Amino acid sequence: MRIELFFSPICPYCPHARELLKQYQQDNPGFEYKEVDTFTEAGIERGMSLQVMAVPCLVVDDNIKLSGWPFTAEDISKAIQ
Amino acid sequence: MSEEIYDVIIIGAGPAGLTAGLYTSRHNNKTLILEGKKIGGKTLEAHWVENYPGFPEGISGPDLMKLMEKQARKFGAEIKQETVIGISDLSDLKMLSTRSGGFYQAKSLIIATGVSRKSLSVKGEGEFKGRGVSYCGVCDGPFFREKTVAIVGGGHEAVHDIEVLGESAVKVYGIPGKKGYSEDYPELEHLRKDPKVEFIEGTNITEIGGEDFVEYVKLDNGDTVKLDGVFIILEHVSTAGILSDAGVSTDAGGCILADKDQKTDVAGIFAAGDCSCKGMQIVTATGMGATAALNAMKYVKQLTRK
Repeated sequence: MRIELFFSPICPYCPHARELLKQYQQDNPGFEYKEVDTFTEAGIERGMSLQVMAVPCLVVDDNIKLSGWPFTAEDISKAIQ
Repeated sequence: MSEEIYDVIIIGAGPAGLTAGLYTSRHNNKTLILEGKKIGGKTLEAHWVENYPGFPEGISGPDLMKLMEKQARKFGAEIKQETVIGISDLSDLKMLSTRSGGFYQAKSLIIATGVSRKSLSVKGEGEFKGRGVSYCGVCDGPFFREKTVAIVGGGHEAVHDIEVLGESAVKVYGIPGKKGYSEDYPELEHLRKDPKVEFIEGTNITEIGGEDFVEYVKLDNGDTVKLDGVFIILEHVSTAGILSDAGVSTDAGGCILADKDQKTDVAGIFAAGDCSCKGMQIVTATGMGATAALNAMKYVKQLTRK
């Protein structure tokens, strides 16, 4: 399973989403996790190829699961399972 | 009714209000801060603040506001969680009433009530959140490169976001709603000449629609506009009603009109922070709070000398 978290450096909800994902990774090891900065050319291109339109955005195996609002740990667990 | 007369009452306990309270109480002005919601204001929603000086590693919004509250209380500012529902200006004395039945008197007032984000509340808005509906132009704008978007709202932040989106989108509609833009913002002059930008004024959006992603908005004039994204940038100064009772002028969007000293057009009443619709940053709010406090204390001192 490959999980990507799209974030921007200025989005108010992104730091919390990143913390939650790092915690999830610690508690549930064994998947590939990557953070994608949408303020980089590569990041925005990757996001647009998946039709990401808002941050923070959680993508699991190229499928958008959560996008554009504050996540909770419960949202992340449900989205990934 | 309390017989006590405060030197300064501050309405709002966000960054501007708490900074103002820190300044006035530190200078031994008897200070009361009234907050109708949560102490800390909109900054409580910021999970991580990376651009407030003095915190090179960043700090969470709630932690920053706890520190500001602690600092204001340390110098003697009283903080009460009560919602102000009325303000009367009796020249040298300002009278405040609160929803819980409280009455307070002060020589000077600082309004620091902030703004709250508003949803557009139209069909399709909830359904397309994150799939073309966004509330942050700077955060999500890069995804709309070479796309067509609308910026909905009549405040300064909405105008700013037209400029931001204009850098990446192929076409940007400015839709301020029936009330139009709150002011003749200077940026509007060049935006009106920009071939990428088109203003649709005098009408409101009634629906946001599409299949999987946003594809159009419908307007109450019967038109349908094809687009890929809708940025809803609506802010609301909730205290505009009670301020008008006290004679404090606001613009069409409810933003309190304050000069460079944060003075409103009523002697002894000052405004600071987002409710004056300037800056919209924590650091600008604290700066305005300090300026308002310094001028409020000067005003109180002049009254005492009368």
